[in-house]
Amino acid sequence: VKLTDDQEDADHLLQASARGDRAAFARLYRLAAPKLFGVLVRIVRREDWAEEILQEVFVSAWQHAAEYSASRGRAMPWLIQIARNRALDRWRHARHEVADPDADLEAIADDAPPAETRLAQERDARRLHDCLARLGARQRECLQRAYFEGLSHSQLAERLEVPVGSVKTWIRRGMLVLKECLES
Amino acid sequence: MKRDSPETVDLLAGEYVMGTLQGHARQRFEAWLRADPLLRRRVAAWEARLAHLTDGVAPRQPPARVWERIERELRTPTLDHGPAPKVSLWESTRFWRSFAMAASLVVAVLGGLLVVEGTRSRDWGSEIVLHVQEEPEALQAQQVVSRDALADALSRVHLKLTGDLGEATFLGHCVVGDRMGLHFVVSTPAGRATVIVLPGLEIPKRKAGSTGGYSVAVLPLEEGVVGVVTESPAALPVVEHMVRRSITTL
Repeated sequence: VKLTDDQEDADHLLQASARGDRAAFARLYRLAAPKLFGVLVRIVRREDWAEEILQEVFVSAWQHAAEYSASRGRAMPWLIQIARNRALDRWRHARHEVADPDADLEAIADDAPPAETRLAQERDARRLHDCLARLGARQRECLQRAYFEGLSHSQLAERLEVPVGSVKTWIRRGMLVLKECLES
Repeated sequence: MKRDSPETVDLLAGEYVMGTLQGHARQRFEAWLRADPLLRRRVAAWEARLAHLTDGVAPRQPPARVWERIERELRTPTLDHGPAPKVSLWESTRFWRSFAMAASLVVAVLGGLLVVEGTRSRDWGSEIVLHVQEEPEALQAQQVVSRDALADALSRVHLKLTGDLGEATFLGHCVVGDRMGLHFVVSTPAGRATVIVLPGLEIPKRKAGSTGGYSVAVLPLEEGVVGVVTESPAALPVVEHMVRRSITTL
């Protein structure tokens, strides 16, 4: 996978943060926060929750930056995974507070540019689109819902009204296609 | 679990990151993960790959107040010591100095009624369970925590270990709500249980209930509260009894 400049910058900034460099940490926030905030809103579907979780993610990143330097891969995937895990925990813990999740998602989606335009403008998004295009529509949906909604095999099977075995196969195939495509 | 098949191992690592590896299989994988650096690299690689699923998510500029809150939080005495040191927190005099200063400040500045009124109304049971959910690695940890280390940690929050609490498998500090406290996990005959001590709080009486898949009891101390969290409702009274019998106020 070819690294973007942003990813390399994030690595250096997080390493500097691990040494207690507050200025580097502020730059890391400016670099990474918009991406993480977008992901958080996509998962929890509420901007107020996304703000709280973003705050938690960066406080945690500051506290655990040394652990990152010692044992982890790239900074952005590390931060995205922290954000995703916290967002899914919050979503599972309090999803009953959202009366109509689908309506919220639609409202949020309306604020963003049309999907087609975004994909055409963003290189990374285009590559992802190309990779996912190798999957069938149901397989693609299965993979994305597992990632963004944190659903188990059985939950996915119930919601997609397919056998659990199909879900397992789709997830595994989807991950293999993603791996092969991104590394080609 | 076919450990001799690299393809299978790699897919398991992917499913672990995705979150679809669950239950006992996930627990076995995590135990393996702690012991295998190569497996940790596979997991990191999958974190990077699956992060690409967010490539289609448009960035959104968060409001300026988020960074302001982060800066404010980093300036507080409890967090101002910077990134976590690599030495054990329990060996760090800096941590305890910060802890003591923070606790003293809370008691001295806010004092009596203000603290009591500000904290009584909060649902500390839910706050404690939320913390347990946010730190799942604590329940999975296999630290060797000596009785002396646990007794020493408790003494620093003005508590005395007087009985047998079972084997402690995790010991750390925590921030629950806006409170700093002590977090440890004990292995009991009724299963693993989390105990969280929050000094400086006052609640009028014991509260117990279930939330987020956990059972929790919050017990008043002379100068603080103890939260006991179990996965099984049946285990809660057992562990609570052990805690009441084994911990006393200094």
